[in-house]
Amino acid sequence: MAQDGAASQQITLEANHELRMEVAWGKQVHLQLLKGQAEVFGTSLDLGERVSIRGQKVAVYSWQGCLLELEGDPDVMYTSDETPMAHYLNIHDVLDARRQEALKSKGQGPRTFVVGPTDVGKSSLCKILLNYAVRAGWAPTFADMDIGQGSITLPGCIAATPLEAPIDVEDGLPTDAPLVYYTGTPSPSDNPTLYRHFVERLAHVLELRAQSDAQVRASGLFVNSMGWITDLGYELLKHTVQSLKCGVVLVVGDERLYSQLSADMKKSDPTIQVLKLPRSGGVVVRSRELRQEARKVRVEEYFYGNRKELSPASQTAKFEDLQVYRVGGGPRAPSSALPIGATSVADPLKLSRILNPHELLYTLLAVSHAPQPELLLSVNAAGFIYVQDVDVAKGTITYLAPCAGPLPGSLLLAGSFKTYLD
Amino acid sequence: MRTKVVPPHLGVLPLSLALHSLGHLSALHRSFWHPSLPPDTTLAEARLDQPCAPLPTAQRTLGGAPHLQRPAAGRLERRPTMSLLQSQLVLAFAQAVTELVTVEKKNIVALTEIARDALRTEPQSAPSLAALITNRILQAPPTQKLPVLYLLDSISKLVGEPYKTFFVPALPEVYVTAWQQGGSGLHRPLDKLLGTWSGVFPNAVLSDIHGRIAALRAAQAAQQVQAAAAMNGYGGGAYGYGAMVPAPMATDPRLAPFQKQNAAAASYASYPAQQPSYYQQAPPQPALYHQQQQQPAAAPLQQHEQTLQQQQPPQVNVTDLLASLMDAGLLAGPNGHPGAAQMASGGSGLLSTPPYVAAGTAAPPYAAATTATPEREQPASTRFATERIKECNPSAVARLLRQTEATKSRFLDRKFLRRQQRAAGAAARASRMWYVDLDTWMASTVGALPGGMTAAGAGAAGRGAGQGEQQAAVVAEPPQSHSVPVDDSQTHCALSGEQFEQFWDEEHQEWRYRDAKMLDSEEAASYGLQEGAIVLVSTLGKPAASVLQDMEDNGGGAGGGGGGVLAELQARQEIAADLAAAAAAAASGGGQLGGAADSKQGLKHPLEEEELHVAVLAGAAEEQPQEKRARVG
Repeated sequence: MAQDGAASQQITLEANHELRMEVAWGKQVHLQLLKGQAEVFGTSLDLGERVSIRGQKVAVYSWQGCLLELEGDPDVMYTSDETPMAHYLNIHDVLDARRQEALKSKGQGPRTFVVGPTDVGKSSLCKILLNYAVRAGWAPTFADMDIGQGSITLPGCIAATPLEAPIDVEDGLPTDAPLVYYTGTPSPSDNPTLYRHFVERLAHVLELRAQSDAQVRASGLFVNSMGWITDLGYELLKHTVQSLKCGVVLVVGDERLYSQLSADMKKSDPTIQVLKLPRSGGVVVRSRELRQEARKVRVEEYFYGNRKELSPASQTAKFEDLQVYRVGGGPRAPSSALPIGATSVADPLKLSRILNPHELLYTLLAVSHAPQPELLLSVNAAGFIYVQDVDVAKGTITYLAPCAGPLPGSLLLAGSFKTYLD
Repeated sequence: MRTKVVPPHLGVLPLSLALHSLGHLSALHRSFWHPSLPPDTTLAEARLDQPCAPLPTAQRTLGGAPHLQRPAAGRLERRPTMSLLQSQLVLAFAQAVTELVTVEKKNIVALTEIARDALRTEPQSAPSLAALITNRILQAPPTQKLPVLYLLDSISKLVGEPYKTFFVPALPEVYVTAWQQGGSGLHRPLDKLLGTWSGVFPNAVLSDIHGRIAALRAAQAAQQVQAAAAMNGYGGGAYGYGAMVPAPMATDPRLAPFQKQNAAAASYASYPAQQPSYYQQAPPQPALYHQQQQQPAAAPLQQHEQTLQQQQPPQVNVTDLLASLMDAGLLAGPNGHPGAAQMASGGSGLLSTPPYVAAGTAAPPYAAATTATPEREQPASTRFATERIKECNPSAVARLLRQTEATKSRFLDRKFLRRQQRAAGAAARASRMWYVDLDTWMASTVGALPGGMTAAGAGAAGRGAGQGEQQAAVVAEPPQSHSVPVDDSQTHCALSGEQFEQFWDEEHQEWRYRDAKMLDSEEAASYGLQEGAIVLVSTLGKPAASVLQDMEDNGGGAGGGGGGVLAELQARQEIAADLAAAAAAAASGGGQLGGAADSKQGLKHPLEEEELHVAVLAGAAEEQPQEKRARVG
């Protein structure tokens, strides 16, 4: 049926080669492994398994060579033998040995921090290393500190999820049960104190969790970071490494950052190992527009699913029934704009209730599990609602919730960025 | 103990050294192996006269031996003085192997040492020696296979490379043949032997052997007659495990000779002859890994000692003796003159002599065809070796792929469910659930370990299957429909503003709004509406709340159970989706399909099918708390 226009072709991939494909949104390509061994970002394909790829950039790698069948017409497709995969695997190998050692000694498995500028394949590296760990029988935890993208849940979130099975090629990271804290902004510069607060909060929870289970502890942690690596961004990176007690820092594709970090780490904690890795040649640089588009897609995926398989519910409620809070009391003057020696008097973690619903239109609100407002910044989010419409006269607010029924809590955290869903 | 073992070596060493006098050698070596056997002087003379010509005796006892001299003949042009020695060593070894008919430790140890010495004196004959052994196992009478297999085992463990590389391609065939022909009496020692091979030979090869043996056992148990026939007609190529033979095995031309046993004698020579061409194809390996692989040379020795309880040969004496002999000019070193220092370094020094660098570093032929398992896997290090970190590490690749194979099955259930759910497609319109609270998250994400995951996953699958009938029952139940009589003044939902859908209700004999509900005063007040307002049930949706409530109630208990609420959550969602999909399929299938659900549904009004679907969805949601309770309690 769909194969009329889409030619099917067989591709032989030699050992240690990578097939790179770019498929635009709305297009679909089917891939099937006929012979040999192949993996997509570390998720190994089963023989005969057919995977659909749409709106993705995918690299199929083979350690031993394979035969693939491809249906459809990717926008870009080429093979390459210049990949950092051997490098990545060697890192996995060492991490794996450390996990085994940790399990024996009931110690802490490796906590790995992946850092680098934007568009160097940080997320892909995380995926590969996570998948390798899962394939070796571990249940590593993935923590995503990149609030600009949000690979576990929405942009603007710090989130963590345990990984028990290889990451699905089509569905991506498991999104069923993450631990989520909502900063409400895709840029940590808006409220770095809040960012730090949530990083510490998450680190605390993960630490408790690791202490309660030897296998979880030994399996270790992978942390993806944001691409902001200068000035304040750099300070936040260091803060994250320290908060999450990362022992290994992988610097992808940035020599300067590598030398800077290794020098700093040597001073602060010499046990932290800083390694540099090359960026993969397959990485595509995304434009600012593309990033914004990607954010919108993430929001859509939250409510509607990757394949539009989910049905969210549109509901209307009285605004006064919802207690929506904003953190930090509005935009704050950057410290550079203040007179020397002066500090901003506004407490960046101050909670203030929003009384005018209009400013919430087209934003995302996090529904909190917090039982009272004071705990809003300590308790994780239960999910998100998207404000579709505000009727100031009636005092009602119409929102899109992931599922029907009343909200799991009446305390909400406001977000500052607007998304325009169709 | 050591003093007892030394004499055999003093007896054996002249065998390989005193090559200038073959008659003497043969006599000595015969008297060593079988003191009662009279020296076969005619054979020795024949060898001396025509070292390269096919020998009647050799041909009779060892079909492949004459062909195996080809590599020696190749060297004849360059080093005429060596050719005689090579062929003599090979022939002497061949003779010794054919005469190895009893399991005697000292003989096996002695032959192992000869094989080790051969690496030094005649490295180029190593493939021939290996081939002699494998061929002998294939051709020897069933009762005489075991001693030679033990020799193969001994050489693999004590000497290691390059023999292992040469054994590996033929190993499955050799082992299976011995197992098959040797009868049940041999099975126990063979199983024992195979048990000691993990870590010695690549796992791919071992799993191949295990697979074949399992198939053979099954075939034997099921069809005694056919199994017997297969054993007798063993050369016919019609093995019971034909279907089990993995593709690489079948397609590998180098292994073809072994699949037709009666042709082995003729085609066997092609195996060593093709070796060079293979190694040219093999990707050049970094020299670093070669060195790395050679390091743990002593490990197999210990392992062997443990597994077979065999006396470790006095290796130092051998090397010292060889060194002194070389110094005396009695023995020529291979390819130039390796110094005594290198010799004294023992096995690892030997292995790094140039001819073996290529053989040792290239992956074994069999493994290359299936997995990139290195011959000697380097254990993983916990330290980042920054100088080598960019290079491809075959050991790491092998580990990864082996682990992948081992853990694969545990992810299959999950994958299957997910695919099934996906295949149901738009029919399974589920919703994303709210994320759980912190306590539940903490409880659910520990204990849900990969080890227990298999059980959880299988349990989920089993439940899924088991619930199929229950679900059908749910489908068949008269749906508790939410509908209200049509009210022309209210055509849209008071909450969401969506238009109501009308349908004819047989029961009430009236037109009604589907999935709609009239709010009583209390409900209306809570939504800020007037009493009597009609809303869509989906905008109220109580079930989800009860699920959540339930989850909170049971959060702590679930953690104690250790089953992993995370997995359960997913399973529940999957079940709900499956349920919905089943209902949708049933609804769309109408009365065409069989089954209790369908037969009842077939009677329903077409308009109600949609309602049924929705009701089932709601039912699925309501089902979840019960499901949860049943499993937690």
